[in-house]
Amino acid sequence: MLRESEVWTEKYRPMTLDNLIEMEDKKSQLKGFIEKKNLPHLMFVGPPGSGRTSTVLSLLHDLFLDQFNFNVEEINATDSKEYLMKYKPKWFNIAQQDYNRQESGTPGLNFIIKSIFRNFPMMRTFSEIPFRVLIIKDADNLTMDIQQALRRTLEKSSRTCRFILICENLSKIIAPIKSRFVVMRFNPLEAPYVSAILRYIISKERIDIQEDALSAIIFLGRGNMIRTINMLQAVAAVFEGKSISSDAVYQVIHQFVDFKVKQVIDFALNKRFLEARERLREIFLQFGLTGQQIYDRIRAILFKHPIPEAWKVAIFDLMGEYELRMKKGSNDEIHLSAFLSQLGVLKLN
Amino acid sequence: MVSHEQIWVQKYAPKEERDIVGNPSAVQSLNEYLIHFGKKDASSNAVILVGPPGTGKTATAYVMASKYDYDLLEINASDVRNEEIINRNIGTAALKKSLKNKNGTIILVDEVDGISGVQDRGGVGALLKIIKTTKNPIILTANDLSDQKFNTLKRTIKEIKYKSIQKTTILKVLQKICKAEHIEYDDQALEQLSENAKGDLRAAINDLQSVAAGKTSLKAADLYNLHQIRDEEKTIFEALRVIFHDQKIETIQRILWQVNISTRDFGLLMQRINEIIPEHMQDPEELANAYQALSKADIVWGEINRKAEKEVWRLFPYFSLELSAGVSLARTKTPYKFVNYYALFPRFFFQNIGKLKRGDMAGIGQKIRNKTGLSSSNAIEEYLPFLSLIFQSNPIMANKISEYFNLEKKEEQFIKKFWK
Repeated sequence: MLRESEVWTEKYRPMTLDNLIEMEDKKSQLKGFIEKKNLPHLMFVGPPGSGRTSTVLSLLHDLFLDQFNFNVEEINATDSKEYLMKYKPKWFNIAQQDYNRQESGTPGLNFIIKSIFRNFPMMRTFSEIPFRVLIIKDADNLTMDIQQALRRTLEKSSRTCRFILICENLSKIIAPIKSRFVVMRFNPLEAPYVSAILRYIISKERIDIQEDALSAIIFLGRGNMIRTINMLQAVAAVFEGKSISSDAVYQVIHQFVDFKVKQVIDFALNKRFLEARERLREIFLQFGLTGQQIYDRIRAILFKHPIPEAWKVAIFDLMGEYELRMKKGSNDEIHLSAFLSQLGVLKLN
Repeated sequence: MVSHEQIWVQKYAPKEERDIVGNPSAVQSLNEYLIHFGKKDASSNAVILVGPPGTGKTATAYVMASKYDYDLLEINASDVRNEEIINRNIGTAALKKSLKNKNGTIILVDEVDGISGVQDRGGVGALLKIIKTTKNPIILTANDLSDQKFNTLKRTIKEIKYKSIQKTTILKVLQKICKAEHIEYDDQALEQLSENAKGDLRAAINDLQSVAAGKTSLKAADLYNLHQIRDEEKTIFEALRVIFHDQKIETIQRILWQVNISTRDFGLLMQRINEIIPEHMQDPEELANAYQALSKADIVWGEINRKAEKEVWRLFPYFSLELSAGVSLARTKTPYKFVNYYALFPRFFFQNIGKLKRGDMAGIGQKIRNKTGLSSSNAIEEYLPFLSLIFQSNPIMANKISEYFNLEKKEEQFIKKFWK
């Protein structure tokens, strides 16, 4: 069964454990929970697009069946107050009432989240399974303060609710929380599985795509299914009705890369090193370019850049030195970072 | 009627004193406190149980309450604990005698180290006042009292230390639970679970339930999926602290030799230094000098790695000097500050939150988040570049997507121009 959505990441999201690819060991463990109709508090740890959310939703759909909507709620630890006001009015209003018992005005974000933790367990369910589930996404963004608040709520409320945390970085979760959860680890999906999923979508959407283009998307997606599927959809949209080649894929990707590379240079020249490096890292990780390729793009962009020609000469001079260092060294990123830090102290006249 | 399984941590929580495992002297101290409480020979009005998670602090308090016939009132970090609320909730309870036929009420304030300095202002002070006058026993628990805001507390009341539970003790508990649940087990499987828990009994029981749920037998192979991640790396962090704090070449060199870093980890160490440099060196000049040193270190390292011959290892001192002292001494202006290295790793994907708070981008991020559950900033990062392409080139698909996310006209325009 497919969801009604034109956004492929959502349309092709698995809805039952049986539809999940790979993960046989995890599946059997999760099916054990379903058989017993009980869950421990669960924590799903892994990078974005590795299937954490899909696994959680499949598990809960299989467990609650048509009661899913009554029993499952989700928040994201990075949700802003404005978001909660607009899209989670129920929780916001409860927090507002709690708050106004003590003070006037509107509650802060921390107060709202603590209020959700306090009040969620109190809402009983009338379905066959006697507990409800709160999914907390990006839980590694919960502040220490809020994690402390979560601590005891967990055990005291196990009659009426379970918590499922989804996070990327386990080291930001405090030990007492880790201790109360069963942890499941996710890794970026391996190429054969990514390939199988893509082929399924391609057949459903009737896309004409060449084998090497498919490999290019799998390579550039780096096992992140969100990015991989979005890339496929973008390429399919741009080249609708044509046969898609790997050149077409790279043509699309280079647009992004050049945009980012220009940002890197501009930030570095403006002495905003951290922002420059963040974008540099994106180029490394999201698009899988090597240091060599990045220097190539920098060169191409600098020619067209509107800065004075004399500056370009000075920058090319630096580039030469650091590209050479990179060739001798072991870690591309270090030398590119060093190059960017030099741009910040460049004497320009 | 389907039978619903309880969480084992609760099902097998100790009910009587003899069920409690580990920390016998701590249990004894708690006994003494409760026996002497309210009498002339009482040494302290309250006690605090301090130790790592999953060692039985809270469980012991509950057992003791029933042993000495007390009610138990529990307050924990999920309740706000500022001065006023502590006075209202605990203050009155501390002075009241129980109405029922009991000795009174034990007040358990769980996770005292979770009382925050800002939001729970005055909380610790209020607690101390109540402890002076209480007519009921008060038991506090905490993981860690090293913060100086607890200094007075530690001086005033008796501290009872809890240690991690021994591996063999955990193993025995797990065996007992398996028998009670009629699960046949490999010794090896339970041993590995006990080992993984690193002294945290609750973690061990949770792990056991997760791998054994729905099974009648447990084999070592079933643990395949179970994380070896309940551990943290320490040594490299210590080295980093010295490198960025001490500016004496000799000290820095010594720590590099002392910490237990395998050859392979030097690459990792460089990665981390690369990550940390901008945190400690905020002046562009310092930054450039630090990276100059790191870049030189990496060149030497590349040479050592490539040749892998004995004589090349003679270059090692130059590598380690550039890596440590070269980087360290580049800091000439920015004063040393504490940086939480743990929180920095791995920070691969940036999150530009400032950008997101502004206007259209924020609204779009929220709308994508609402459908996908991704954080607003991740939603922008993962979706916007690709949506932009679709919106530029394929109006039909764009329309449907726009409808799905519920986008407004001006938001569509924004997405279209995202790269321009």
